[in-house]
Amino acid sequence: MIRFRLYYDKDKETEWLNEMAADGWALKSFFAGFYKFEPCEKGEYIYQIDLGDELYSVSDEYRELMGELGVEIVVLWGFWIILRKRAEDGPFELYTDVDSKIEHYRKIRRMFKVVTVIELLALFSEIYAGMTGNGVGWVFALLISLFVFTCADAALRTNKVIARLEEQKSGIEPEKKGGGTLPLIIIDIGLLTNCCMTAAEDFAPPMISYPVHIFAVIMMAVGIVLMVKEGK
Amino acid sequence: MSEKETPLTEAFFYILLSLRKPNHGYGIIQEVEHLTNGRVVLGPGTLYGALQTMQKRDWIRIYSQDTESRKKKEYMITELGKEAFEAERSRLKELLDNAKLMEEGEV
Repeated sequence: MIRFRLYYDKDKETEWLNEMAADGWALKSFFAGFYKFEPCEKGEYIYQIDLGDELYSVSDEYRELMGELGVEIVVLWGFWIILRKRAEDGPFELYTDVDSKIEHYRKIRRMFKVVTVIELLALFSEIYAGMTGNGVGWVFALLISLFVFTCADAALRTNKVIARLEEQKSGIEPEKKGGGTLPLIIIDIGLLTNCCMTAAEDFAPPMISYPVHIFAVIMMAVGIVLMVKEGK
Repeated sequence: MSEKETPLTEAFFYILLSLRKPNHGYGIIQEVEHLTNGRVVLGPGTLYGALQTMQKRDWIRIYSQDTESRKKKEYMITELGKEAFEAERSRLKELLDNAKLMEEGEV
């Protein structure tokens, strides 16, 4: 059985994989959103998702340790590692103390941040392509803006998870701030870009200034949406 | 793990302790579980992260590795690791010594 899903929350993904396993469907392989399942006994496996250090591979030490502990590496996708263990061998949780959980989610946040920045650069080049008469550029620009939004949102959500864990660790409730700084930074990038471009309007040809303006507007919009979402 | 080196987390403390003699992954988990009467059960991710961090700090090293006989990889504490452990022990001792002050209050 093949199911198509797009997850950018590894905790929800883990939950879903475990629901499937409880229903008698064990994940066998994954490719770009397509999850391939094969029948198993109901609740035969427990799935967990880890974030590794290498693309599409893990160190020998990781592989050996997991093997020794009865953990099977099912999927390597990007930096993500989907693992499973037989339920009869006992509970399966990857990170069992607050410190290692915090470290794990920090790593995830770092990855989302890096991807967001890379996608911003790609967005810029697609807007430019759109301006220079390449219609496909606009389509990609739209898709990439959605992706930027998704990644920035994921980074923010991970932020909240980390804040909750740190609270759990110290026992001190953090001061209630007016939301994270990321939406503000994104809006600032938009505003700043817009200002610079307006100042340089006389010197820059429309081919350059239009894409920059559009980019700035998208940034501001993304920032505002994130901020509103956070405020809820 | 990039956080400061002291105080040791419970996981680090017990992993160092169980590496006073050569031990392998599953052996470490079992020993820590035994020592804490089942209170601390290390997850694979926690254990792997700790082993990596402690190797980077030269607190532990790989003791034996035999790929041909498929023997499990064993780790062992180093002198530096023992120092880190002793530093933690004196910190804990201070806490326990000072905790005795509480008994004075009971008179």
